[in-house]
Amino acid sequence: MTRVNCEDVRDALRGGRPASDPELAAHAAGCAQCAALLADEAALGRSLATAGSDGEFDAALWGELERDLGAETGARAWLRSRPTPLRAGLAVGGVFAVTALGLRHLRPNWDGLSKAVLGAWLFAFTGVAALAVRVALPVLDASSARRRAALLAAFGLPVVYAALGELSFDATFVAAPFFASALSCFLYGTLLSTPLVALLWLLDRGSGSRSRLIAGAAACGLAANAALLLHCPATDPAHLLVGHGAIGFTLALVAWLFAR
Amino acid sequence: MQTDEELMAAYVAGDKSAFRALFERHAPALERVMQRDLAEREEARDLVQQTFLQLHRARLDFDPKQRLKPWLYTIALNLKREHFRKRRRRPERPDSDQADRQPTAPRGQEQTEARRSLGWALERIPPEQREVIELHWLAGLSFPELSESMGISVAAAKVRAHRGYLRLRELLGDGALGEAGRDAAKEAP
Repeated sequence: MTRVNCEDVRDALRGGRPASDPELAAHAAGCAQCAALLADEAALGRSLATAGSDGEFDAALWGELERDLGAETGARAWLRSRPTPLRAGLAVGGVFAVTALGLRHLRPNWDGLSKAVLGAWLFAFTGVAALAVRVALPVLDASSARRRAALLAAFGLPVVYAALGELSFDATFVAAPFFASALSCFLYGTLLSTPLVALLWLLDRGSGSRSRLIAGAAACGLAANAALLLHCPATDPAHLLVGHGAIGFTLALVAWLFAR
Repeated sequence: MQTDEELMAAYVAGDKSAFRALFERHAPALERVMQRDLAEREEARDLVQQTFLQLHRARLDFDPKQRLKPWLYTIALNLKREHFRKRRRRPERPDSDQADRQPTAPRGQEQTEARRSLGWALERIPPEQREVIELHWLAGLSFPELSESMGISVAAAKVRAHRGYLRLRELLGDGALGEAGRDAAKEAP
């Protein structure tokens, strides 16, 4: 006798197999939910087996859908219908491109920096940004546990960098005056992230999923942080938090408002 | 008859009539699933329209080795969840005296009545239990597949299904359920 599972019981009921079938009965003996389905000659199971098996064609709805499909033209429609690995690859390319923009104006203390430490932080920022891209552009939504973990990493990393920035590099550099320098970094970083924001908008399939939009915003913020890592010499936590880390949080807030 | 997967593969290859065939095959059941929690039929139709639009946009992600139906229903239920989140409300349940009364029908309409009774009962079980049951029975997802798509463990999915089945039995009552089940059994292939 082959062992059956819950799916076999469902399929057997759909196929009209009798509830008295010894294989089904043997499975139900150790499975509470299938026992509930098979009780009373499988009355519930048989009702469920035929649920949703009929219905009429809705010509008006098909007409509306056809109009929508007809409007799916142009660059955005083409881009967002590309296979997800390609869309994700393009978006990760965008993360690297934004990071590379930071090379245009290198931080003044560039020569004296430990490139290994800098490289490690860059790897962390771009790596977590790629993870956030994966959540922002999935084939189907990732499980909520994976989504939460990715978002926690995406929003936590800039905070960790703000806390460890001073320890990471030999000299502490306090940007002054505080608000002007923080605002300057915030605006510059946000500006650098705009091409990635635009790219993610082009690649998004318009499901309206809040978690996808927030993950996309986090990826943009991380790319901006990576670019600022190459550009800004400041290491004091307040500057890093307000001038750099706040970019991702602000973009996420905008995404959250947009998705409401 | 072509399978869903064959139709989708044909659509990806450029056969537009295949998409209409998929719509004809799945839109009515999807609309019923959507409408169970919505007061307005238009909202349910709009979500069905969005589901097929999303399917079209994701067509190049389709893997002919995978089943289409679980994918379609996962898209649909994600859209439904987003819809409720945006509306900031729980799924609606009809609360009039009329709606609370179990439907009855004259003899001769028993087969339709069996489905209607089940639909009536499904509207009255908690949404998280109903979603598991709908994904398992209507979309044909296995428990591991639906637990993945819902972001819960397989054990949690089975517990929800079990509680849902018990609640359905309670709502339908042994007599009504027996009748519904017998009517459904008559139609089983």
